[in-house]
Amino acid sequence: MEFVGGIAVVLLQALRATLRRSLDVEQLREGLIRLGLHSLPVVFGTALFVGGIMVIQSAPLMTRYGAHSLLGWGAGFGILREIGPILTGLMISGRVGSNNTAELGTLQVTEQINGLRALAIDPADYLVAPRVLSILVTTVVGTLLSMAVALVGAALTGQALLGVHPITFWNGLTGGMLSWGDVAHGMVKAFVFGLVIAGTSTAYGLRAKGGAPGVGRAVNESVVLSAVAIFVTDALISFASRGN
Amino acid sequence: MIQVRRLYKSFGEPVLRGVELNVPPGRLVGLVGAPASGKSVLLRVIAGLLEPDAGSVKVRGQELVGLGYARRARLMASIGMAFQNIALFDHLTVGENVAFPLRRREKLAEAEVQERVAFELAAVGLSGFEERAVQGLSGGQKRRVGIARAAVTRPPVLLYDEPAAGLDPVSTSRMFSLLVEQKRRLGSTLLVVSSDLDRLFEVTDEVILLHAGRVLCQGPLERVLANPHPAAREFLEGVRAPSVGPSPSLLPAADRDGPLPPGAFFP
Amino acid sequence: MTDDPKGTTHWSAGPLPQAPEPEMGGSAAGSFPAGPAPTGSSPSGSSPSGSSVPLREGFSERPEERSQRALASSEIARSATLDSQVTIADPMPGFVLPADEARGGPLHTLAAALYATTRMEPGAVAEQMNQLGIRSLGFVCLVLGFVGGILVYQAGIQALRIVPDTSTIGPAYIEILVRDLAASLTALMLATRVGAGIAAEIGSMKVTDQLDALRLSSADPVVHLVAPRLVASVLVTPLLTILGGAVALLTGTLTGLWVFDISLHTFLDARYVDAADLCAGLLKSVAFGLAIPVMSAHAGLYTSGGSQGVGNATTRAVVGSSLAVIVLGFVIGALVEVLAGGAG
Repeated sequence: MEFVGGIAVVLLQALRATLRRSLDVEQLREGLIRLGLHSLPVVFGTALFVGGIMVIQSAPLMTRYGAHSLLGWGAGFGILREIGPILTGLMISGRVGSNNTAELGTLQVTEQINGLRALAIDPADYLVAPRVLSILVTTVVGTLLSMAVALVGAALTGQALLGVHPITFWNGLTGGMLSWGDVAHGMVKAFVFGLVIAGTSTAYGLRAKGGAPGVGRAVNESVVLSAVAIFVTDALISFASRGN
Repeated sequence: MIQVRRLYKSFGEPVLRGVELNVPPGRLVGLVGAPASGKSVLLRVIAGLLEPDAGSVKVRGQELVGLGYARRARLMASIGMAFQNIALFDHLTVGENVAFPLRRREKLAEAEVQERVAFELAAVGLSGFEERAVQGLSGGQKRRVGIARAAVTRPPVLLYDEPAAGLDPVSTSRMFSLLVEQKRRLGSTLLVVSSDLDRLFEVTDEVILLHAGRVLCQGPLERVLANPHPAAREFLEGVRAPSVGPSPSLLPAADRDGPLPPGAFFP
Repeated sequence: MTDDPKGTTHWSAGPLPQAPEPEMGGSAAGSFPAGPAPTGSSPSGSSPSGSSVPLREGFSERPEERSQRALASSEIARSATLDSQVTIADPMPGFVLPADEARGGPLHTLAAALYATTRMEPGAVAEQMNQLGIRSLGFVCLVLGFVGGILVYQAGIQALRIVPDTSTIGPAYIEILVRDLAASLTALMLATRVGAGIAAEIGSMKVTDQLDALRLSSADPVVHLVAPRLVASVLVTPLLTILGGAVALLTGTLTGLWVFDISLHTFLDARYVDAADLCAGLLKSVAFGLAIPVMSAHAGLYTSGGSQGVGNATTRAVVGSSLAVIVLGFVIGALVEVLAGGAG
């Protein structure tokens, strides 16, 4: 409960600062670059391999039925609806979320956040809102792009390992059984994961105490709880949407 | 006991630039110098914790630089060190902290270990603290536990980095008395870094003055105090004349947290 | 007075400091022994026993010498290598992990840790297994339980889109669980839980100098900290994988039973699982169990710079371990697929 409360406070602060347009634009720009742009290589690298894994794991089904045309569907389905958003979310939580917790935790244990208050700068405008927005944007955009990268990885692996031509793969993907609705499903998940990661990592960073070990603990707890929250919300969304 | 020849070490920029010094056995030698003159790095190199870029460090006649795993471990077992930022193991109790090197280095009966630990804790005025958790101690108490941990194995070489920093005035003077006492009782060679020059100079047999990564002068206190080099004059007079601003011992010790994190949170 | 009064009052005041004894004062009247270093035996063979160290006159610097001291740093380095002739052997991994520069990679740490397993203390591994297992058991079971439910649910909906046949969902699910999902998901969870924990723990010890204190207590940090975690992880990860897989199987079966009305007999059918699947799953869980502590301990051992450093190390540990899990999963999966495909 305390966990949910901390996230809610952080997200509400961010929302209020955004609506009042009092958030620090310079910090937002920097956050997008440092938290967002710089973590894309890791996310893309993950996505490439995840696509490959999806193909390897659906390989026995395909060979069993001799239905190579289904490979695009099988891999695409997993990438767009489940594994893509989850693994991107986990990687962003590991890379961006823990980075955010580490930075905020350092500011907290070195009392720099109190320093901000002393300078009459509202931490909500200066730290919380820009970071929450950056992480949200990074997660949504990162997931969308990593879906594309993962599909490329899947197509490449399919050709190298199973001899499925990329065109066959592409036809299986667009053959009618997958729709933009599946992409939208993945994006909804990405948006929720973004909120979860941003809220958790910011709340835990602001709550760190006790020097360097305290920052380590905060990061540790924040990534673990983000991961649990990602899986739980994923299950909730999947069941709630009933396959649509 | 400790011989250092042409020692170089750089972290991007040179920190030690050809240090030469000699600590005779059984003496208490003070290592002093302005902040960032390389005192702590030098101590770590002598302790075998840092590999220098070039040079030679002989401890008890044995070359430490470039030594292999087993020999280095054996040589380091004859060194005790107290760290500038104390470095107690925070998952252990006070007693286990002090007992840790003893258990690692010597095979003693448990009763004897407890006896030695109790003795060393009493020497730093913390009798009966064995079961306390490290987190509950004040900064000065932690530092004294660190001293007890360094000395508990009765090593022939003791390296102390700021043993009296953060101690109250009474504890400070007792700490320096303890250094003399350890020299007598253990027959150890002590190399002590301290910013409290007045107190340090009362107990040292010799003083080494470090300036910008080199030894400016080494010798008995009077000779070092009489050194004509401008840097030596500036350092010693700035410190010892109370009218000339605050003494360096009042300045914060070198900040190990490094520069502010990237991101420039302050305008 | 910041100290506990109890502490200070009991402090036995040692003998008062005295002036240096004369017989000691005379011996080393403050000047360096000139010429070659005293003939201490140099067993390492790399010390400059033969090279004469040029005599430095006295210790007090004359003003005219000062210009000499303003050597550029590169010149200093060069002259140092020229006239000191000390070749610095690469320090043994572990005992002196170069604290100041990231010289070794994760493979260096892996080699050091594997070597260090021969020197571990008894009991250290059991303690780490205990900690690791207790810390992550609930977490792994929770996540795998949720994932099992979702996957069967999604697969069932997709299967019903194509053919109204749900009889192959169970066997296919069990196969994918065995060959990949149980191992990969468990490892990804351990990468966050255990990886971040190891890095935060070792990283905090690094920035507070506790690793150096270990070294000076004749306890090699790699032997004392890394090796037990490595062995414990290699032993515990397969066990956790089996447990997590069982939980995922349970929730998957229940989802199939309640949502799609698949009977237990139809669902719990392992006919698709063959030796290759089992090998792949087992190989993966062992490889992940090895990779996670190595990546995380590496991040922790090379932490630098205070609390921000510890935070960064934890980030590196999570990202590095997760990446290692995903890449290794891909490589092992592809290898087994190629080998088994060639055999079959």
